[in-house]
Amino acid sequence: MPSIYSPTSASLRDYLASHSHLLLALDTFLLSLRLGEFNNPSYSDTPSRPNEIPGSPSFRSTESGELKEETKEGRKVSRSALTLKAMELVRSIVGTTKWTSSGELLIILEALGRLFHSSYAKDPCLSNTIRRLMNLVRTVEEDLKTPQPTPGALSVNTNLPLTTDPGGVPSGALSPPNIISRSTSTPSMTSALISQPQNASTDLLYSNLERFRSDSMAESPEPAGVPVPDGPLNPSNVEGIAKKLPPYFFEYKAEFRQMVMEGFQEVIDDLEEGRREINEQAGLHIHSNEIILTYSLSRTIEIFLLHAHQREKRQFHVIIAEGAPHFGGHVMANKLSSKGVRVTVINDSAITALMPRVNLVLLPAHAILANGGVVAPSGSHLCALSALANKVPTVVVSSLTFKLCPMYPHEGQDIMQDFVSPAFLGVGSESDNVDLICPVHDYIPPELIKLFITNVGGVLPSYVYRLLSEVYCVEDPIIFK
Amino acid sequence: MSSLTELSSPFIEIVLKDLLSFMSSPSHSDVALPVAAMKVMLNVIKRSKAITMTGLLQELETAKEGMLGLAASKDICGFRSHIPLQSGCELFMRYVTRSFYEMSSDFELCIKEVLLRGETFAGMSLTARQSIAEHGCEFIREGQVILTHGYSRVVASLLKMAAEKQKKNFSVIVLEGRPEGGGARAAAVYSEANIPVTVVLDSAMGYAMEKADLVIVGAEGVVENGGVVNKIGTYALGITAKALNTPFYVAAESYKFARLYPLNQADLPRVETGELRFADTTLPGKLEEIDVKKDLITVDNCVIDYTPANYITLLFTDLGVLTPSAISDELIRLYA
Amino acid sequence: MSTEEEKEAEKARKKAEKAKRAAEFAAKNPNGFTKPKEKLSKAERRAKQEAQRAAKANEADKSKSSSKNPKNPKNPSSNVDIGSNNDPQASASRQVLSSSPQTLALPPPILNNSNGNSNRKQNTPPRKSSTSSNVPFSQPPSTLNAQSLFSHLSPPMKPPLTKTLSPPPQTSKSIHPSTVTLCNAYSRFSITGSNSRCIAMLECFKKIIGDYEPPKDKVMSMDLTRVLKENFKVITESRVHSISMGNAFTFLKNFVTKIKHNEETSVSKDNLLLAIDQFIEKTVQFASDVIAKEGSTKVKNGDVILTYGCSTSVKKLFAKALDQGKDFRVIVVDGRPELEGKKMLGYLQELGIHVTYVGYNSLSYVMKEVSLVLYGAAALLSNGSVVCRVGANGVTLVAGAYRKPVLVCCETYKFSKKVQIDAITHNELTPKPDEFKSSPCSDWVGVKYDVVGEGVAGIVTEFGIVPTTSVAVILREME
Repeated sequence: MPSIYSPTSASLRDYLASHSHLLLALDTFLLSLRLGEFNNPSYSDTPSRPNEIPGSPSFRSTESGELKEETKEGRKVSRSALTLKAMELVRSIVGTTKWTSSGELLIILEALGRLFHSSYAKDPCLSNTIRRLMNLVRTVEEDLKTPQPTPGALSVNTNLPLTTDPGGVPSGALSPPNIISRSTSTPSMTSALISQPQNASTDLLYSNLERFRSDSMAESPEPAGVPVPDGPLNPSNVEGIAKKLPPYFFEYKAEFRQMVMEGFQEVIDDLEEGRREINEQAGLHIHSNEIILTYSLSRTIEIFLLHAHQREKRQFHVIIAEGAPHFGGHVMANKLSSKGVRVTVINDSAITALMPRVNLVLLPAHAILANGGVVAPSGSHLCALSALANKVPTVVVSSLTFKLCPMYPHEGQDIMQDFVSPAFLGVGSESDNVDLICPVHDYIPPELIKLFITNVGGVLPSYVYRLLSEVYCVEDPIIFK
Repeated sequence: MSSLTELSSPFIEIVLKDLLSFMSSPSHSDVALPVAAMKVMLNVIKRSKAITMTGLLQELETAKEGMLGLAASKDICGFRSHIPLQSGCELFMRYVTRSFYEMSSDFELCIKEVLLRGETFAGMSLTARQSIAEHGCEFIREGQVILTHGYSRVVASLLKMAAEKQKKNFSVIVLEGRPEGGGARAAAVYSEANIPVTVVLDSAMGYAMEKADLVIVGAEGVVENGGVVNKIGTYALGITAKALNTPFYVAAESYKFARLYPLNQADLPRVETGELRFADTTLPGKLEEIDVKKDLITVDNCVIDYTPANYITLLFTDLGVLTPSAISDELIRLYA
Repeated sequence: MSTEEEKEAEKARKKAEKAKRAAEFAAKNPNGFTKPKEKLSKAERRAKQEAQRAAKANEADKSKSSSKNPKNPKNPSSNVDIGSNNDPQASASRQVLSSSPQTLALPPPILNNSNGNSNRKQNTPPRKSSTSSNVPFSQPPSTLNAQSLFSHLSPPMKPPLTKTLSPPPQTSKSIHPSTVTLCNAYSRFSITGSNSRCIAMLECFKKIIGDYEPPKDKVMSMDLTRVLKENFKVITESRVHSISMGNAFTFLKNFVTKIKHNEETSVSKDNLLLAIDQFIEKTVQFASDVIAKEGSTKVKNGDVILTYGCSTSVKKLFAKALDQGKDFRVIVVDGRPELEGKKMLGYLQELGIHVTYVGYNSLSYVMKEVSLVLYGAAALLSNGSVVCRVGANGVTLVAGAYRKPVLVCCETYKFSKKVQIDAITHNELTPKPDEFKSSPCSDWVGVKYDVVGEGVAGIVTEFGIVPTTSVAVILREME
């Protein structure tokens, strides 16, 4: 079985060569991604005429009938379904192939991450999932490497127990419990000073790796001067993040495989169950006789409101802004009102006019960034600004499982941006003097957000960076290029 | 304790000699004072004849006091604050104490470990600026205008990396930085890196803020709640940036994280400062000083001020990009 | 002594009277003094009036086309059809409203305008909205919802489906055919924008005055005033008048009352027509020219100007700035469903200015590169609030977040003594767009106007650029 040394797509395919069914599944999945079959409605085409707006009965079907289908079911493939599919694929690859060490597994995952990114860069959910799995692998590895009382070895005590958090988050709730409760990957002075050198991410340190290898804890001290072995233990043979992995990552451990597979299963369960924990908070935030404003279509918010209406039996009224350019607001309104929730639809321009009477603003999130900011449907920044001006709390309801991104909004409003056709405006122009644009996302800075309602509870925007360090490792690439 | 007084004078002399030689050594011409201090501490450990941890810690404490005393003098840092020096030394000593508690068995081995890790730590501190620059220059986009204050080597390396390595085109507005003219000196450094730079008066910060897309400043110390202590004028800059909705970034190495919790400007540690002189620089010819040595005139040459955390958007550190609330987290974890 | 006795007797008498009154009251109102009971009685009274009027109206306008009755698009399920005047049950269902804790006070049902002004005098709504709207109102459901937020406003006007609007028989003499045409245009929203509507109304009045012949026994000023008022009412019933129209009408009325008795009719009429022309030329058109000149000084080379919707003064401003040789480009933001910005887009294309045309959702994205935000106003209120097209408040907010200056162009004839803080206390409701008519979710709320309280750097008027706080001062000066 050839060992995989580099996370390129070519070497991954070589590695999978003997598992043709896996290769087939992978290629089919990547092809579907590229063809846009899993396109989130955010990126799909917008209606080009008023009577093509979803929810409108005089709705003409296009040749492929795609739009019409979307109206009927609301969404072809949701992002969580997509992530689940990806997870299943990754699990089958990881479960079937015969890698022997965590280092190899990390290289496989990194290769998969690069493949996903090259096929579907605009949605971060797949990269986030891969990153999460990579962190899982690292944590399992660290867990297995229990401290041995070799002389001269420092014990690993990098994490203080998380007792009380500002957001009331139970410690370790994000990552699967028990086996993965500690993370050695937090960037901190403590870890920089005390733990193994691999946590300091500079090349200078890596060059010291040779010197320190005699001190590393997993094995008996080697005498200095032993020739560097071939294979993955030789730094020049590996690429990507594996370059910075200490040698014990490339050793075989018997229990590792099983623990990793268990961990994968827990991540999948997390994906499937995320909404339940969000819904349980519905009763805390929705009271009686409230007027709630929400923007465009969001399945999470829809289920949240339905839960409040049906289970908690709260009386409230929802105002939904139609949400150009996809007009998801109409679809959401139809769905909610068919279940008995009192709903009113308004134009985007009427949001500021009605805001003085609104009690609560609920916004969906496309991605949650490291500084607590949110990438949301375009037009929601305006919603949040208007809420702030009228002292109405803005709450973002979103599960964190694949939406939490370790990046900062360097580009401002351009982050994760995409553009769709502005044909719904009903203006066409061939003149050079006229530009028509229609962005899909907005960036909402953390100062406008009062609270996040997530599957780990209520979270302040300033606490998001903490959740990041629990789920992802700082070593793993932010963008899988 | 008697050994302490024996150690005092010659011991401290050696310490200070070390410090001065580190500061002026050609290979480390750009070395920061706290890093040099840490190297001095390492030397103290190497030379130490103590056989218990307590003794060693006492030696380190004495060395620290000595260095702090020297730091206030003009030769070393020209009346800058001693906060980074203090925080760096405290961090180092904290680290030594912690290693000792974790390795209570063998003193000799503990020392050996401490020395090894100490070298690493010192080495990291040298490369801290580079990793800060790497984190920070992602936030600079093409065509932006960056406002900065005085001369901070960290900010300079950040801007130089963005201009030289990443080949981004941007321009800089720098506040002159009275009284030591740090900004004017920084302008020369930036122009050599082919960055177009505009120098303005300190008082022009409100005027210049309109044109700026972001503000980047360095720090003398980062305090427990995520606020920063820096050259005088940073606080006003933070307030102006917030009023105009401009992002305000602080670039600081992790050894500058200090155990301070200032409540307001008056709550800052006192720093001895030099004389402040005034002149009308618009008049042609040689500068004529305006005489302020009269009764009832007090000249307050405050060199540092405290910028609270709510004016700061993000901090670039060698541990990564952190929000102000993450800083207190770090400090809690380290000193708890 | 006696006085004391008298006093005591007095006290005792008063006590007895009080007790008697209390007993009487208790007998009348076994539930005690509760407010809803009052309302009930009022409503009962109104219901009676309603029934009487309904009986009268039924006889009068059997031939009336149903198109005159605006439907109530908000509650298709409720059986209150405003248009049908003969529904005594409507009054009963209205009583339900009073018991709901959330709804506002119950204004009386004002009948359809089919009977002209005969209704107006009898109905005095307890809560008079500042523009005396005469249109029927719908019955909002008794639970909290978005419509109940606007139960104090008249329901949205639906454009009539048929072309002609046959005038009511009683007042056919006073209602000029051009009024009817104007009403059609308004209710079909083919004339929009405060300046255009005002000018159209004044042109219509010019025709009325031109054709007017005073009866022998009447004083011209009073009779003409009556005629004008009737016409104005009809116009208002087709669509609520804007503040610009109201101010223009006030000017016209003032002028008419000043007509001398002994003057010849033709002279008076000529004077009137001249006055109207001057009003249009000076206060409306010339003012917007001056505004254009003043505002164009704020446009610099290389500027990117953002505008919302379409406004006459802003159009002139762009043309002026272009004449001055300035190099700038414009971003036009448009709000659904009216999409008035298309007119601005067409105009700018003709001028040859580079335009970026975006929908309302793109505001936060484009605002970064904007140097100045400009839009027009429908009115300026005494407390400094700017009344403009719905959505302008959002534009102002986003501009504030990016620290961009906002200028509003407004002629002084649109200044009003009213005050308003938010867009809900007084507004005009819009009907549900056709495309969503049979959508399963039937609730729709749309308003026509927005009120911008703060965030505006200055108002460009023909007196120059003034801060929003100076409106009250200018109003005083103008008097």
